[in-house]
Amino acid sequence: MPEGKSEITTETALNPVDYAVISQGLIAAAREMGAKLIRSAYSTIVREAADASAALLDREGNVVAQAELIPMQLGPMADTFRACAELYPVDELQEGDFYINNDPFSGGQHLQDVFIYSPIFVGGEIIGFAGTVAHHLDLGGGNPGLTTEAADVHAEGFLFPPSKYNLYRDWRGGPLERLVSANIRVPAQTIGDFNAQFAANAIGGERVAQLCEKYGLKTIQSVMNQLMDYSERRFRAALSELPEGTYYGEDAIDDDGITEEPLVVKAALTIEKGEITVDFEGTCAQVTRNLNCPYTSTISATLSAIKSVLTSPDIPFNEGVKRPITISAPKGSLLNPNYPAPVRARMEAGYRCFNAVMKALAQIVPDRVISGGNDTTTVTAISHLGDEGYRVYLEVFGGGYGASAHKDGCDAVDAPLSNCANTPIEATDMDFSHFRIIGYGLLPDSCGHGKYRGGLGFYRSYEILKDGVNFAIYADRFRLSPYGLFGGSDGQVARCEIKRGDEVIQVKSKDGMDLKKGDILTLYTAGGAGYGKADERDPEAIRHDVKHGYLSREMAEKSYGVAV
Amino acid sequence: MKTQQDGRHSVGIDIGGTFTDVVCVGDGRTHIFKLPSTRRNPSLAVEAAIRQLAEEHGVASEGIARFVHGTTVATNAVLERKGARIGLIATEGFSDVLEIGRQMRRQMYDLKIQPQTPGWLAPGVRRAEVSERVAADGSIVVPMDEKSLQAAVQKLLEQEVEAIAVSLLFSFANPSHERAVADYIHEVAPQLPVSLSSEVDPAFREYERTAVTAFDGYVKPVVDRYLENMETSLLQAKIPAPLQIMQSRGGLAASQVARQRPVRLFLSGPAAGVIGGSATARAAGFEDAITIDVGGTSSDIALIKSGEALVRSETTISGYAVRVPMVDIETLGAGGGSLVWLDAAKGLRVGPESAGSEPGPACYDRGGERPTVTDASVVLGYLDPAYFAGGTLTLKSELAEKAIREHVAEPMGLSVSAAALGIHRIANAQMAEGIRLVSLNRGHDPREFALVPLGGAGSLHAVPLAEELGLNRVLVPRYPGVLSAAGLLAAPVEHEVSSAFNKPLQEAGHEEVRNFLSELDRKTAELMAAESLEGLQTERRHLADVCYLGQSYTLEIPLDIENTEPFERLYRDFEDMHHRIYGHATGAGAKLVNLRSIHRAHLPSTDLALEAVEGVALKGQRSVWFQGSDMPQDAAVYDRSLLKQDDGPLRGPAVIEQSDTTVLVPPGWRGQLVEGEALLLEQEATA
Repeated sequence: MPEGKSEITTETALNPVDYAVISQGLIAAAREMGAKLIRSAYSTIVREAADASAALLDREGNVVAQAELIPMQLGPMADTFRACAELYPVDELQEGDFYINNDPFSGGQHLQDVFIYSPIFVGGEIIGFAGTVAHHLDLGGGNPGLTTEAADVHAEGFLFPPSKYNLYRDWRGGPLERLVSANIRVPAQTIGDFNAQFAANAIGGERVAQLCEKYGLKTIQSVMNQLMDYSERRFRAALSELPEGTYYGEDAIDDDGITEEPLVVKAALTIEKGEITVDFEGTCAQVTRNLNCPYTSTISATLSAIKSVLTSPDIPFNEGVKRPITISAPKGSLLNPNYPAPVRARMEAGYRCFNAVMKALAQIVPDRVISGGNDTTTVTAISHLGDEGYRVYLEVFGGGYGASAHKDGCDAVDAPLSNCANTPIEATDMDFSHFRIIGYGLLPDSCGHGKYRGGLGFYRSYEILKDGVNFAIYADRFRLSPYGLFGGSDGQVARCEIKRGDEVIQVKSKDGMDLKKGDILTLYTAGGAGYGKADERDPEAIRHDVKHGYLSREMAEKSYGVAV
Repeated sequence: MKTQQDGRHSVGIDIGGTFTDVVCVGDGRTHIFKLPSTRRNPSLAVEAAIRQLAEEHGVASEGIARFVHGTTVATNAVLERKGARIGLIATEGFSDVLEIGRQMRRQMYDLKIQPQTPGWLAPGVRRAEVSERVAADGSIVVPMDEKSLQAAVQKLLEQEVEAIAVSLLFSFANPSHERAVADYIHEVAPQLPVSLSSEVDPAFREYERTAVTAFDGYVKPVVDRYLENMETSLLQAKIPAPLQIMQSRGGLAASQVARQRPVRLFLSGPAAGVIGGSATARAAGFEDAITIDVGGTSSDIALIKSGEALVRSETTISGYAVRVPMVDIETLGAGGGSLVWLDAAKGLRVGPESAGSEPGPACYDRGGERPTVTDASVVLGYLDPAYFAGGTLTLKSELAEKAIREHVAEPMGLSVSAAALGIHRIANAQMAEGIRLVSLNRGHDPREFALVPLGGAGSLHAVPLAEELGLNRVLVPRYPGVLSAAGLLAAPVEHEVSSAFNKPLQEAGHEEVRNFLSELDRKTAELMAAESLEGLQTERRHLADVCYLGQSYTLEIPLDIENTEPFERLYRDFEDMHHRIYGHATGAGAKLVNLRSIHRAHLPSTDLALEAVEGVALKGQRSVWFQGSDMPQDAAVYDRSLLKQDDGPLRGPAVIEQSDTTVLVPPGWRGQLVEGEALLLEQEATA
């Protein structure tokens, strides 16, 4: 071992090779948890859309390794944990105990994302925790699908305050499982997804226990600490290369669904002495509708923007990355709302945090940022109560990605804070009889232009096959378009409409209504914005886009002055 | 035609990226040689092999009774983007499915992302739509509109497409519309190859089915031309054997049949390697084995359970997931040529970047300055610099040492040998992770398996890997360097047809399933009929893809419909497997998603015959560094070709050299030749 001062003087010196070997094992264990959770889940949102995440935490709840699935769910894994551990100390946990939390005002995000942490016992001692979060399709609430008009968090579903239960005593037919089953509409599916979470936690625990058996408890703990130190060290090294100063960025949500007032998010990002501070002072106050963004979601969104821009992909994301970052948002604001604000659609505000931070970073590292994209979680629910019970179809839509200094934005993918797959057309046809998807395609000309163009948005069209169908949506970018950078033009906004006979009804971005048999519902998602000046675009790329129908001749002429 | 030779020869030729491996068995002799691959026209190497067999090995073409080939032509067509110009026909409203895919990103925090789907297979102008719609139950919602069909085909013909892929919604439930499209294309453009999704991959999820069908169309003309040329070459060389091709699943198909199903030829070479490993293991009495092929830039790992290689329903080609059943091979970016580097926090890393063969490891002295795993092997005394690859290349150990000292040892404050041991440990840890993926991740305990190293470098890593994972047996084949070619001769002829069934288990009628399976059997038998299998037994198996109601990822479970309670048995097996893999089983209702028929015929075995060579196996000894010790140890060095079965066990520390690999026997392990001329290494304590 090299002589000299080590940055981890409190730790027993560890062979760097042992470290490399064990840290890989921990990351692999977290990935396996994530993969198994998704492949054995029941609800379409988890199994098809992969709206779930997994992580390994140390004894104090610091995230050590994670399965990279959904950025938004992972940032605050530690905060969600700590809310439980403060009430139910780690020291008192028994075999089979688990923490559960989905409380937006105590470390949770929105109710649908339920976090479960299982202690990992090795030789009677707790070495760490295996944690998973899954988006549960049905957790009760005012409506079978979405409750866009929910007045408070209680109308949005079943709330698990930070708490401790026992798998053998309270679940598996026990009182907690019975309580949950009785308060939701599709218990078989939701309970199945909970079981997949418990099983994934057990798998993670088993892998860590095997590592402990092989290398010893102390060594594993030491590696966990070093893994975080490692990410911190690398991130600080990256930060130290940036110019110090304070940079500002802002963006806004279209409206709160009632008035037409934009909900402004403001970020002041300061780089000083190898640390970053992001302050959301000046952001609008919390609103009465479900667009409020719990503080942990604000942290998550901000971290994702910072990590994607300022760190290289080979730096594992864990608690260490968070150490040089301080994030604050005024209490009572959209980004740190007070109980009992409804929060279901918190992703919209999360995206505007991401955008505001991205705009601030664009002034520091123009080469590494991207223009505005669809950057919205567009959630639609089409539900029906028939003879077979509730049928709830929920879909999360992507759109066009923002362009960057060296590349066009990707067409039709999910936005940066999320990574949900679509539901196959054939899956919806097999599972639901109250609607049929009749079209799904790219939207030509929906992108912003520039040296690099944004990604195209897409449309999805539904024919409603029964009366008494309920439709609910929350979305954004219906009025304020994705922003271009460095001369690139804005992307096209999203919209949603219903054709009923000869009538065309425009749907608002946060809306709900009853649909009739024969209605045709179509959603158009936003296109990504361009980057750089249009006259610098490679003419060959313009011709290619026209030839293959991404760009109309008229648009090529208008945006680039090129006749094709 | 009767030749002078009584013996009939079997020839296996595997074309890899760098070398074309040839194994020829017959007349009580085995001929093994390597030729450089001819990437631009791979069949040139095959023609050269036939010439060399005749001229240098005395194997007359007329005496070749079997000719088996593993090919990279389908894979390369995709990697090099040299496939056909194809058109795609989809249901009205859905031709962009190929491009949108599942709307997911592969890298979560990567902001600057490439298109995530193979939309380039058939870009916008080469996609067309027909007005039609089939419902989930196969009933017709919108009948096929002839005018739209004519217009769609016309549009693609104007684009001068060389093949057409057709993927309509629910074609697996009712293929009549796709067939109507094919009929019309055949009518107006009789020569144009057509790939129908209902034939290529009749299973649910339109994007996945469309992608594999588009890939099928994309490689079809290339594969067709290539195999047709090779059939002609064999005829011209007067080789009476029909050409057989290795498929992704690890079974052989007559060239004529393979040309019809080209997408099933992806990764045919690696599949053959696994089959070769499986044959070696079986000959030595092991039914359960894990194979690891350590190549220059990557390692391929596969698991064999009860003599069968695990098969997965999806593979990755050029970064795209493609739903083709293939031998479940986990590939990871760590091999002999993997570059060793320190990251920004001075963490030691191995791969995935590789020095390749040019410039190659530092010790090759071809200008490579950065250290690789192979350089570490030289420093540690694992490789004899004077006898690398059978003496074809002389290594410079001082360059290996210099590279490791400058790039790793000094910056980390380690000795050169400690750094080299560290490099091996990290490479081994990555490979061990790959082994955990194919074993633990699929519900198997690796300790119950024998480890079978393949490729040139596998045997250097095998024992340390076994120790890392708690395995206590390593089986080194006689010719690990050409095991893919040998595997070609050990593989059965196999065909597989599957189709979506999509019904809850409770609603599945016994008769209905039986009829469904007989229809699958009929199709499979048709494929088998094209093979030359005179007098050979065909073995039939049925499998079902099962999941719980509400889930969508399935598990493949054997189904014996002639069993007294076939569905009860199937359900029990499903629950067991679900519990083994996912850690829970619910007792809830299950669904039959796809049913599958597999027909297989085992060909007479062609054991590699070996000529006895006399001599003393012990060549001398040299200083070797092993893990867990800070001093080098004197290891005995043996010549593999002179080892005999009745020699006693040789004890580690030892190094066993042969022309295509070097075997490392650390202290505490011992080696012994066993059946099939394989070398069995066992841990002393457990022996």
